[in-house]
Amino acid sequence: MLAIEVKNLSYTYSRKTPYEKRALDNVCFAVEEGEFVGLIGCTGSGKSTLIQHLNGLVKLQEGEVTVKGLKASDKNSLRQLRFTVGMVFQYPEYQLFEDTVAKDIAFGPKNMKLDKAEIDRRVRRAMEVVGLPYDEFASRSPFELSGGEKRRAAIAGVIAMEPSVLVLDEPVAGLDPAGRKEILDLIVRLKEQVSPTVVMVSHYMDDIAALATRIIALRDGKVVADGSPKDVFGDREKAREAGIDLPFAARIADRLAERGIALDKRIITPVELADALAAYRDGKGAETDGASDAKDGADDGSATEGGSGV
Amino acid sequence: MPQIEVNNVGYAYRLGEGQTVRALRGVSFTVERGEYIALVGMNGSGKSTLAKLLNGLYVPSAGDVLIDGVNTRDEERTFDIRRKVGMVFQNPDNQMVATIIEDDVAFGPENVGVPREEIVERVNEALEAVGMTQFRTRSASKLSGGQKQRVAIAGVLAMRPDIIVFDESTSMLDPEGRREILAVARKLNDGGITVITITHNMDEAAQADRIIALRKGRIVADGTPKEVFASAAVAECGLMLPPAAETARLLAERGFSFPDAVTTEDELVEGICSQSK
Repeated sequence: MLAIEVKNLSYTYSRKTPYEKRALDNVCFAVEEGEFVGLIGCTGSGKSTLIQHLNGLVKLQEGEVTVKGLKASDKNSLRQLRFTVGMVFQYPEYQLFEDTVAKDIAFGPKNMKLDKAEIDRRVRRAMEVVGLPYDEFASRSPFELSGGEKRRAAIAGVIAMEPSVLVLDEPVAGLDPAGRKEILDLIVRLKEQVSPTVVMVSHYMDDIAALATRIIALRDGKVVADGSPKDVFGDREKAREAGIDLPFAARIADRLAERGIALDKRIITPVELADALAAYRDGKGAETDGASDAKDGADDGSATEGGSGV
Repeated sequence: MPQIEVNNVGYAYRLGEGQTVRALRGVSFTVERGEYIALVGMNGSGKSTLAKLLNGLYVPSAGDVLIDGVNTRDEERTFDIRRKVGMVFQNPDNQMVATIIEDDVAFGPENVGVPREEIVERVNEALEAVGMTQFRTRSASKLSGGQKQRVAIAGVLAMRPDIIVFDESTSMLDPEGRREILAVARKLNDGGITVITITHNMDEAAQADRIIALRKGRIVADGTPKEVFASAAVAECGLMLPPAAETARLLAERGFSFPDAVTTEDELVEGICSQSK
């Protein structure tokens, strides 16, 4: 079932002024329910403008956006659209405002005019999922929480609306490495338990390679690549033309290729790289199909340093 | 004499109603001219507080910070110290003071009464150093994040600093912008400027000459990237291994061996090639 459909979407800022800027230019794509879309592109490529269309924060100029059958152009279903698409903006913790964590998280469900019992159920569930136990955190001030806790509380506020599509704009920006891992793990959990379709904007190609099932790349408001991370990163020429950075493992694979160690171009994670190198060492380097299949021989200690001539 | 001396420094700030937070305790280290240091640690570990102590934006609650032997407590020398120690912050949009780029870069020297001809010379030099000369008469609002940060760095350079502190200056940038800033920082360091960079990016930290890791306001590791990434500080400070080190670890699990600790891409590639040919 289609979760998101974007058809011929164009958008121009400051129309009919000297500052006119075309932010989106005939953007088309469809996302099936259950996909994890990594939306990439450099600053100013149109990513933010695009995601603001997904829940009707930006008024349509040209084209159509449909999410779970709700058209963004239909004023009557705009409210419903906003509840269907959960938006986690950059630095969402700046939007915390209530005096307790539970009240803050309840804000969304209250707006949905749910009854008290349902609101309470959702607040508890959201807190549970993001790892802020209700009994410990419900009555605390959101402003007393640590940086990572604040961000999780802010995400809980979105999750409490139980949106079927979750959109996250640079969800790990500014976090320390442990905080980053915590939030990325949380996003995976949210996809499994609450919102089956996820769109994540990120500048971190390694996070995209690890999590996304699909990449949509924007440049100057146009879609310049759309496919699985392996396909998009694997097509080096197209990736370079589209201004797409490679994940670490692919970069290393390229450098090794220059040194005569030819590996699969579709390697995108460190684990795949390590597996491929182990297979290469064991004389299976000629294999070119999916690097992730090369899991065998991983812990084969007998081959240690064998024949390396070190 | 070391360029920077931090002696047993503590710093506490008030949270109102008699509550104080001790952001730093018993912090001591010295920095020699021309070092490239990464300051790492979790959010709230005291990194930014430490940065602000280095140019006298904060004065220690205990202990002393000396820049070229001058104590940051000496109010008469505050401007000297601020000139010597430049700061580049996280958000490029918060650091612009003028609309036109060359005016923005000239702001610092104008404020300390540098003669006009010299200001022109300094602005030229600074814009050249960050590769923004061709944009000098443009509006700052039209720049990319990386370009804005380069202008912010030029503004610092126009003060002819000896030390530049980058406080998460790449964290809001896209990969291209991050590369631009790292290249500029490296080039300035090659020219003799001491660089202290606060970062959550382990790949960036691995490229420094030295890493100082903080945890709850104390230094828990101070050494080369190899030493620090091989130490218990990684777990204690909530750090991750840089991707090269992580990949080397995965390879070691698969029977590869690396005689020296791997922290950079170059070391990883060399290490793999030496045992795969």
